[in-house]
Parts: sequence; structure tokens; C-alpha cells
Amino acid sequence: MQQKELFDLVISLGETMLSNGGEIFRTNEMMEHAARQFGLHEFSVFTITNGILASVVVDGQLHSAQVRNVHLLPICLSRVEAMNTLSREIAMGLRTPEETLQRLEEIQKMGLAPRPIRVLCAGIGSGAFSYLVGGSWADCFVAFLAGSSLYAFLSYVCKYIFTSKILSTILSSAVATLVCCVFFSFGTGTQLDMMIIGSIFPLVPGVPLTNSVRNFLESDYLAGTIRLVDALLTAGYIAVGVSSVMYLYSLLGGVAL
Amino acid sequence: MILQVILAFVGTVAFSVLFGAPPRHFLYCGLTGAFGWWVYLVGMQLNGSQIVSTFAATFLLTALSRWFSTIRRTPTIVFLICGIFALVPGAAIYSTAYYLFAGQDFLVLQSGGLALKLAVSIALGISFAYALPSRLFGWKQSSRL
Repeated sequence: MQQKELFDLVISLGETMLSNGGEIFRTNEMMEHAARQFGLHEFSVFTITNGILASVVVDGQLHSAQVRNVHLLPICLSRVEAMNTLSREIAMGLRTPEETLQRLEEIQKMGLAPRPIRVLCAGIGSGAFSYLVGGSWADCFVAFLAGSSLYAFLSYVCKYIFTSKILSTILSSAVATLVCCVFFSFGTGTQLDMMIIGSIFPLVPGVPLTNSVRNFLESDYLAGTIRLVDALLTAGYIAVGVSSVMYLYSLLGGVAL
Repeated sequence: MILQVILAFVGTVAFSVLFGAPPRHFLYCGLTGAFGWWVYLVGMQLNGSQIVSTFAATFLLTALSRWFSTIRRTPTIVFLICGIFALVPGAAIYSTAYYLFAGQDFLVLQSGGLALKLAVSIALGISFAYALPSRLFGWKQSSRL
């Protein structure tokens, strides 16, 4: 491989690690190990939550630089694990660049569990967490239904029609709230807010908020700020979805919620 | 309390499916989540402070994840992300945004402050547990898995 291709490969390794939920230090470490093992000189990299900036000396005389915009994908831990194993093997010198490229393509094809299973799991998780925040068994059951319908809406409808993050978050939290309101007005469940909090758990940005504060503590201030703004906006979209449905429902049905 | 811990286990496993964790680690992800919630409940009974209990739970949970990561040969993040899911301030974030749109400004400050304090205590717990020497968890040399 030529040095330019090697540089591309190193950047792609970092991109895959970062976009699937690997931390910034992990991404940087992987890219530095790979660059050293593949014989790239004076490699230096700066990583933020959604981008990678790197430069290297190509063919002994010219500085080459790359800027890569990394999209924030849903976390996929099995890819992070596989990338971490790959990173170790590269650092120990067990992988040639060609093998690395092949393995990278295999990892990028790894996916999440099939959709129906994920919908079911979102429901189970919502139900369980609705009980943990203080709901009753009936609340838990409604949160199970509402959480599954939220995830089903998100993965079957929003994936094809409402692809923007704003609309998909607002609409899917609205669907979950609607399910909760309907059950509540028919007398199932005791506390409406516990049901809603449980059912929107798959969307609420708890892990991004925690990661953002972690980035601040590790003095990655820029990365922390990006994640913080993202988490706050997501929370805002969810609140728009939930509160507009509750408002409309109380107008139409006249039910005191 | 046993019921709560069992449900924390179930919920954690369900969300580790959503996070795409490898199926062979599901049991350990669930154990991490259940252990964290158990420490949180014990902390709430002992001193009643949500902040202190969350910190203690996160600290011990992260230490447990690091130990699991050595015996299961996997990055700590796999157990950590799944395990802290029960503790993250989801309810507080949601109520902050909800009160903001409902125009209840005092409650916005109250729940927003709580969400921030919880997030900081979780992050501090994680960082402190990462700062423990890695030999405690069975590594021969210092490495940050």
C-alpha cells in the first residue's frame, strides 16, 4: 500500500471507532498505534465528538492533512469491542495493512439485533425502568406497550419517512405519550408521569450527558460542549413531543391529566 | 428490594441489546446494572442523599466493570455503558425540559440542577474508579482497557 492509502486506512479506523461509541482517548490511541506500526511519520491527531483532524508526513517531505466529519450513530458496542481487539492486534504487530482493511470492512458490516427483538427489548426496558422510578405494576405494563410502540415507530416509520433527528424524536415521543394517555383515560395505570418517563427511556440522553461531563473532566472541553448541546437539544425535542400531545389530549378529550 | 434489583437486571439486559452489546456478555452487563442499583438502594437507605448514593453506586459499578473486563477480555465500556443506564438522570433531564415548556420556571431550576449534579457525580465516580491502579484488577502492566 502507498502511504496515502495507509493514511486513509488509519483515519477510517478512527472514524469507525468514534462513530460507534468509542471514547476519544480510545480512538486516538488506536490511530497512533496503527500509524506507528504502518510506518507513518510524525502522525498527530485531534479528535472531537463528531470530527477527526490529522496530519502526517507523506514520502518523507510533504505534510498531508485530513479532516473527517464523523456522524453520530447509535452506540454499537459489539463493533467497539471488535475494533478494540483489532487495535490490540495492530499494536502487537500481528496485522498487516491489507488484513486490517479486510477486517475493518467485516466490522462495518456487523449490525444490531434484528428489529422485532429490539422493539421487544425497548418495551421490556421501559417497563422495568418505569417500575424503578416508582411506578406501579399497571404503570409498568403501560410503559412496556408505550416503549415498544415508540421504538417500533422510530425504527419502522421514522427510518424511511421522517429521517431528520428533530422530527423523529418529537414524533416518536408523541406516539409514546399518546399510548400512555389513552390507557390512562381508560383507567389503566396510576401515575401518568411514571408511565411516560419509563416509556421515553430509550430516547432520553442520559448516557450522552454523562459522557459529556466525563469529557469535561478529562479536559476535552470542545467534545464535552458538543455532546452537552446535543443532549440538551434531544431532551428539548422529547419535551416538545410529550407536552404537545398532553395539551392536545386535554383539549380534545376534556380529561384532566 | 430484591424485586427492584431483579428488574434492574432485566432492564439493563434489555438496553444492552439496544446498544448492540455482544450476546455473550449480556449476563455480565445485567449483573453490573443490578449491582449498581443495589448499591444505590442501600445508599438511599443509609443516608438518603441521591447524589452520594449515585456517586457510590457509580464508583463501585465502574470498579466491577473493570474487573469483568479483565476476566471477560473486553473493553470496560461494554459493561459500563449498559450498567450505568439505570443510574443516569433520565427522569430529571425529562422533567427539566418538560417544566421549561410548561412555563414552571422554579421547577426548571430545581430539576435541572438535580440532573446536572447527578451527571457530575456519575462522571466523578467513573473517573475515580478509572484512576485506581490497574494491577488491582489483574493486569500485569498498566493498560487502559
